[in-house]
Amino acid sequence: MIESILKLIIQIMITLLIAPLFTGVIRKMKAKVQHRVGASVFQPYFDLTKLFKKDLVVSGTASWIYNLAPYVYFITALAAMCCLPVVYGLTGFSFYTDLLVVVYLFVGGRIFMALAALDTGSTFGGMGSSREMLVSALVEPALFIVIITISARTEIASTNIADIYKYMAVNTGTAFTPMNILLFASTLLILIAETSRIPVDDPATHLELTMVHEAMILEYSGRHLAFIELGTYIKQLVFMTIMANILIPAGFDNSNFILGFGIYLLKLLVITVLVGLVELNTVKFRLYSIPNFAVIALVISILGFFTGFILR
Amino acid sequence: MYHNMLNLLSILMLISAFSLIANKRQNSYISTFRFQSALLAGISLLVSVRAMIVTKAFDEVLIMFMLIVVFKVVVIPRYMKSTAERVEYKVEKDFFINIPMSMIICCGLVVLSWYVIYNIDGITDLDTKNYLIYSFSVVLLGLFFMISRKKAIGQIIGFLVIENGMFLAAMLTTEGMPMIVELGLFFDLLTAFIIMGIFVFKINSTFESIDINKLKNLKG
Amino acid sequence: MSADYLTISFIVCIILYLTGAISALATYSKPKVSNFLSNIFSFLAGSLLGISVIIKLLFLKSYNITFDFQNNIPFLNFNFKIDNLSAFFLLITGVVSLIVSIYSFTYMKRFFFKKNVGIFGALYNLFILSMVLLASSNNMLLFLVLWELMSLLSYFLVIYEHEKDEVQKAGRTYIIMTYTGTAFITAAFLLMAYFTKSFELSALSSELIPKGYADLIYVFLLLGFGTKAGIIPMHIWLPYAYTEAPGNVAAIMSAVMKKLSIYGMLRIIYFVLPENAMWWGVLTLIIGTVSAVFGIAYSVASTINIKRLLSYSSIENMGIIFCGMGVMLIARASGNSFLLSLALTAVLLHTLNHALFKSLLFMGAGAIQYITGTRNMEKLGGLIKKMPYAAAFVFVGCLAIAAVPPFNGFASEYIVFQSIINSIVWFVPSRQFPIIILFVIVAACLAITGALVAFSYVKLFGISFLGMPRSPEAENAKEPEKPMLAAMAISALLCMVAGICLKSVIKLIDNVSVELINIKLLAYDWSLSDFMHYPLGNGELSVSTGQIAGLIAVLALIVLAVVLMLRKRTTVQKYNTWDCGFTKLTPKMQYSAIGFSKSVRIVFRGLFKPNRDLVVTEGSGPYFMKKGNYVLSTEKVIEKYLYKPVILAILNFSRKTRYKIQTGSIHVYLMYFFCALVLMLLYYSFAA
Repeated sequence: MIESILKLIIQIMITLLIAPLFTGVIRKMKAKVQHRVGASVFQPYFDLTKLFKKDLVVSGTASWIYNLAPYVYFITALAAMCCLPVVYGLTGFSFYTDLLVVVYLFVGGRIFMALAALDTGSTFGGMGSSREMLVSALVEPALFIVIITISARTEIASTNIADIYKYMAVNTGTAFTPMNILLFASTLLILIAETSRIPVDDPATHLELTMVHEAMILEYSGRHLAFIELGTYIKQLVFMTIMANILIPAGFDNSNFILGFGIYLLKLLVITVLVGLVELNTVKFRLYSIPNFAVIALVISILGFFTGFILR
Repeated sequence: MYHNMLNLLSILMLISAFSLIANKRQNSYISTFRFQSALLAGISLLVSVRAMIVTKAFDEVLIMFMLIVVFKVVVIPRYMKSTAERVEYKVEKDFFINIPMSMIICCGLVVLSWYVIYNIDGITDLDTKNYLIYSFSVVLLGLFFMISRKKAIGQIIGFLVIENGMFLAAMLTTEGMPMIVELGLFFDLLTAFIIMGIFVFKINSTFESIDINKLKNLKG
Repeated sequence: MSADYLTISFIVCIILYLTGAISALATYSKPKVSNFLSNIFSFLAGSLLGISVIIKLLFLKSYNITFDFQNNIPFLNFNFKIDNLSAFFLLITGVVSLIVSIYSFTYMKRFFFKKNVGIFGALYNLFILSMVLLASSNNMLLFLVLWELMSLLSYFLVIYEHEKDEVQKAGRTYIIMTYTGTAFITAAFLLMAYFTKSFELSALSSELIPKGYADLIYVFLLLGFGTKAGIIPMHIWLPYAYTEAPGNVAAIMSAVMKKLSIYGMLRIIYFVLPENAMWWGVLTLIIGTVSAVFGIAYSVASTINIKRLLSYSSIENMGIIFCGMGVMLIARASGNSFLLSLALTAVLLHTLNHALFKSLLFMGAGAIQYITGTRNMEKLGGLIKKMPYAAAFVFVGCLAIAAVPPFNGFASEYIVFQSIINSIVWFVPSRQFPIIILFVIVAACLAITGALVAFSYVKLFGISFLGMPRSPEAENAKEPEKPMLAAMAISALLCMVAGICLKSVIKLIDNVSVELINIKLLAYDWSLSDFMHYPLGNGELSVSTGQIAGLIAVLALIVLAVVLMLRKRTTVQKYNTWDCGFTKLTPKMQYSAIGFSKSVRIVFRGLFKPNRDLVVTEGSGPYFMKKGNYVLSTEKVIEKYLYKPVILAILNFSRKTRYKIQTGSIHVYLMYFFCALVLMLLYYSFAA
């Protein structure tokens, strides 16, 4: 009991520690390609510490939903991260929870954010929340097919993370099957859509024509904004962990904690570079081209299911 | 491991066909086609290297690999790019079927090809069956691409994709056809491609557009 | 408590409802007294019913409450029997009606001295009574009679505000559709009775029904009960009837009356047709999925009326229940008992949960209408400040229906998905690919449904409760009276408890499952230590909503501590919302409900065929318009392409035949009688 609580605490610490890093890496990578020096890789950490110290400005129209939403968003993302296995032996909270829970926790956080955006009575907020709900609705089928394939892979049809963990621990050798790689590709696209990265949304812009996520959080400042940013980083880490550990469990069964953690970080960095490459090579889509993007993710995940369970 | 790799590469070919369907820019048509041809080249390299390791003799598929690299990865895309630059259309705007719908139809096509090939009793090897399914789906998707695009560049790309699919089928199911057949196919393709390229210019200069729907105007 | 008490309490219940009806009618001239009497009696009866069926479900699982009123009418026995299945649906009826009765104490004030509240009270009590009796009747004819009674009474309740034209129209559609449905149910029942030679519902010798006729019976049942459940394409009455019915009636209709069609389906599937073909399940699954996707898509994209949004979302929820039922039938046909128990749990749990949160939401919508007098979201806004408690309760309902853990909606949606995943994996080894592909499509559709539910309820809550008030009515809104709040609070609490203490809810369903399919859902007995876990079927731990709630609570405490620490060092300043540096924001600049859902309308334009029309009165120049009139309409695809042609065909047919059959000559009519008589005689003489 105490051991598992301790493990949970370690997992939370690791999460909070490494989550902002990857955004920093992506930014640095983009800067290098554009022949800029760019901010330090650790800039997101500096931003967060600064935001935590800042005073808040709260809209006069807003109600308690607005004040609660950042915390709920952060907590749901953190709770989702707690469900996932990070390193062999460090399973956090996995045994009573489930991949579907992870998805629905995100739904909860998203509902709060969308409502908070409407709460201030600003047009930007309404626009942002409408778009965000749309994007998430569009990629949801792909996400569910990925989850179904993962659970079908365990052969006992379990979405329970403990069962998935057991599968991962024995199947580290045969990780690079076509099915796994297709699911990986599909999840990469889902990650891009869910964490509002470039072809779907541009996190660096503040133009009403293009904003999705940024429009929702436009009114936030100070520690509210810090919690939202941190929540987004953690959400990104959740999807990356699903890709790195659950989908491609290569090298996962390492009982040496330091080595296992190193492999985990390495995989996350590879994914980060992939996301960065997508960002560098595409431009932002029109809002109404996002269905095309979502359908590609869906088709890839269905093909993944197909190669895994029908073409056998 | 060998089959795993082949499986993966051929799935990637199928996915590149899918991404072709999802595209609407002529430049990305060409680069997707180039990517697909590179995958095909990779497959042929894999097949030939394996054959050479097994038989310890020179394998003809290696020549095919070089031909694919030279023509399909380098020459044809480059020539297409220069063609595409000279016509006014860069982005395909109106489709007969919108993109999400056509993606879903393509999914159905894959299921169809799976269903057809699954029910062929003669093939017992599971891997061969899978390769056939992938390559057949690529052919179907290429055909669908030709149907759904209005501009002439799309037609050419669709034609080339069909050819890629047939090549894939031939290579993976027979581990390399007789050299002469493949060469014949290849030069057929090249001639067809050059003729089509010339046609694009002609269509463009006659109708000031490469919308092949306008060819309807030609009938009496 | 001895079992006899249950019988007595059930009879007391009936008497209470009757007393409520009669006393409300007797005191109709004093609306306050009449309303109080009708609601206090239905409240008492509801709580008595709820308590006694809970006792029955938990402790007296094998004891069936039965009683028989002797009469001399052939075939029609007043024969009642409450087994676990009935008890489960009586539980829903009892709980919801008791909550809604509390709500009605003040809700009905809207109609005091304007309408006859006494008649409403009487109809209301009789309506609930008819549902209670329906769920416990053990005779097919009695079932049909009560079904008709329920439909008629609900019709009268729907058209309570009959002086309005749209109410009349809604009522008309409702009564026509519901009679069509009843016709199918009657046909199915007569077929069953014909083959089994019995009108008993529980003790039919089902092997007497030939295979082909069983299929026919099932299709009839699906059409008949599906009409009442409002699944697509038989749903056309539902959005209108629920919108126009008073809030409390809509709550009861959506939460209880619709569920009785699920009851009817389950009753007949398990007690009359113990074997089924695979395609029954496939058909049900497809219909359910179509209802879910279309229902929620309409709910998001084409509603600005709160109640209409809720009724479309009811269609979606019934779709999910039918999906569960489809999986259940497929599992039964393929002989997978684990999957069967999982799908049955999904059906029953979602039935219960939907009753809880949908009644809460309808009560919330009623409260808004009660306070502001409008159901139009575009005229609301900012209500969270004027009616904070009501807003909080509605918010809980929204979270529950959007399946956010740990609320109850999550539990049932989770089990629906689990049953679908399990069926996919079940069919993989036997390589039945068409059905696997079907299940994958269904899963994708349900996924997008789930996300659109969230969209829909963000729209409902965000537009009507948040932001700035869009009309003076919303500006002057105030908290509704305490009974209404109390009713909503109870519902919200139940939504939360049913989500967190999932296992004790499963415990209630467990005995129903044992009775229907002889499988215990819970692997081991209930005790406080494993209160939170949720083991399903073969003892594997799967998910524990309680644990998740605990985790969230702990994390929340940590965050709270951090925030308290940070708070000392920072200040909070109130300021206007960012207005781009121009003039101050006005309520008109906010996003509207129509604008909010525009993206969905465009992405799914194939479903809606939206039409936009902007009529501009120009002022001094093209850029200075005086007045703009923007009309947006979406097409009801199903009405247009399914019902219109049928109606036109029928009209054409009747127009043509009118002059041929209806000649007006009395001799010809007599001739018809004569011919029919002779033909019948001939048929009998040759058939025998």
